[in-house]
Amino acid sequence: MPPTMLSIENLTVSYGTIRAVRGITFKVQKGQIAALIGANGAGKSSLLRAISGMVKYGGEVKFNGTNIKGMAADKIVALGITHIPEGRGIFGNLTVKENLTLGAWLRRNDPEGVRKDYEHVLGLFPRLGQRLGQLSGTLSGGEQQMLAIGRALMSKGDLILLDEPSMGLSPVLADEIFRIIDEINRAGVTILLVEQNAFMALQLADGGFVMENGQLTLEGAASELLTDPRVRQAYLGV
Amino acid sequence: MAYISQQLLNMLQLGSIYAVIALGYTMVYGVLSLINFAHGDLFMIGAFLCFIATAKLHLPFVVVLAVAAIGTAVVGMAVERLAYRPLRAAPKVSAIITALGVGVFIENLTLAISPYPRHVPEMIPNVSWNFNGLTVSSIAVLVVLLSVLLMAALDFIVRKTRYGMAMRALSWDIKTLPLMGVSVNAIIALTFAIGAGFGGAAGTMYAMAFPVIDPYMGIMIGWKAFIAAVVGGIGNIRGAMLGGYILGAVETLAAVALPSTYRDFIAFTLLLILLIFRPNGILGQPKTLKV
Ligand SMILES: Nc1ncnc2c1ncn2[C@@H]1O[C@H](COP(=O)(O)OP(=O)(O)O)[C@@H](O)[C@H]1O
Ligand SMILES: [Mg+2]
Repeated sequence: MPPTMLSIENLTVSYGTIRAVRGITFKVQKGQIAALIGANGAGKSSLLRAISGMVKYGGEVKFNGTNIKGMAADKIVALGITHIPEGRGIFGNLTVKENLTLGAWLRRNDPEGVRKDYEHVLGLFPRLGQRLGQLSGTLSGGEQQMLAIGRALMSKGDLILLDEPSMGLSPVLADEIFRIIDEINRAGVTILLVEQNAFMALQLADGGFVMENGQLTLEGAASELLTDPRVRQAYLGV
Repeated sequence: MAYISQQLLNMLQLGSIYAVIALGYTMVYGVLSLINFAHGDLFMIGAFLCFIATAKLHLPFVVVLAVAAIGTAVVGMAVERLAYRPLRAAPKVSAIITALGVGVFIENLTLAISPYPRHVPEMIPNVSWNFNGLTVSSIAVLVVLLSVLLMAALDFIVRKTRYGMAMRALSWDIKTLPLMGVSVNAIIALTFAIGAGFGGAAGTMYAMAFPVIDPYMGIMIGWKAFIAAVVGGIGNIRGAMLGGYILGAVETLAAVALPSTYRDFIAFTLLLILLIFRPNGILGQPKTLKV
């Protein structure tokens, strides 16, 4: 068993009286892709926001054994957690190149590494290379998702939290994005993948979690979940 | 002819000062959508720091300018830290009321320390050159040059540096910026430092051109510069400069054509009319910080 990278214990998130996450416990192993699936409003994004320090929460989050509860979001990035938020979080008033540069904000002392990663990202997404000087608000949805992933790679985290990367993309583009997520994972990056497209996510993932109404209802190996009748009925439409 | 050129020069000098103050409003608004109504009073602090550095400490001009700008920048950061940051998540109107309150506080604090108008001694030798009847003073030249320099510097910072990039990103999406590893608090503090620093520099420029200063000087000039920023398109850096020069021109021309008591009345009326036709200002109101 590879070592645990992320450990969530009894995590709760509330917005006023709305209880979005109601006591969730799970672990993500180093080097894995863990898929978190569930319907709209299940609390998936809230869970990711808690991990990356964007919202206050109850319970514990440990990253590589360190308790990161209460840490500011920008400090959590420095530890090696990169969050690609729902809706991609592109800075539309900045150029493509500036967005990528911003991703490497904390790597001032590593210009050589940053330059290498920059080349690597442009190799993964040649379309970004053709649009470096363009305002990123004018990119298509697919290109924005590529930029969001590329920018995340620029921060060179060990864990990427990815919130619905296939949202709003054509099946072809979604395939392309999932292929790249796989490639990133093969290069050693651990990924917590939130998806509504359960089929694609579980095909890619090692392990999976199903979330309903703020709670985990199922968990297991992705291959098992793919054949689980409850998952098939609720999320795969078969 | 010489008379008109003379007035043009006066316009340019006054407009330069308004423009530099307006840049401070626009910086903070462009990044945070917050109108820092205490900015006029920060300008006044800059003028008083300039007075202390000149009359009491007898420092050379460049040092005076640095003392006023940096000192005011520190005050601006303190205002942000103590008054605005606790309200960052509160409705905008709370921040506006707080800003007005901070302004009154600064005025009264200055009043308590130094209630009387002060005369600021000469900072540079006041030389005049005569070109066919047109008198150009060394002070006017320096004021205009300084404003151009400051504007170019700001333009560069916002467009070309990593901190300027972070400011623009913050103005687009303050929630996502921390996910890049950027400290939002640090960027906001820097924004206030620059905005207030410009106020302090403008205070020095003003004290050089119009050497009598008092604790209430920031109110009227602050409002005017604010209107200049709005006329140019608040949040827009080039708009702030344009608005400042337009205001300087309108005021100077009004003073030429009419009794001087009409000056502010005419200036404000014209600007309000302009806003009826271009409610978002001449260069438009952007959603985010624009160069
Ligand atoms: N900022 C917010 N303020 C109030 N309620 C929110 C906020 N964000 C999410 N919620 C609520 O929390 C619940 C979970 O939302 P979310 O975490 O976005 O779920 P998911 O990502 O699974 O669709 C929903 O009921 C949603 O309406
Ligand atoms: Mg979501």
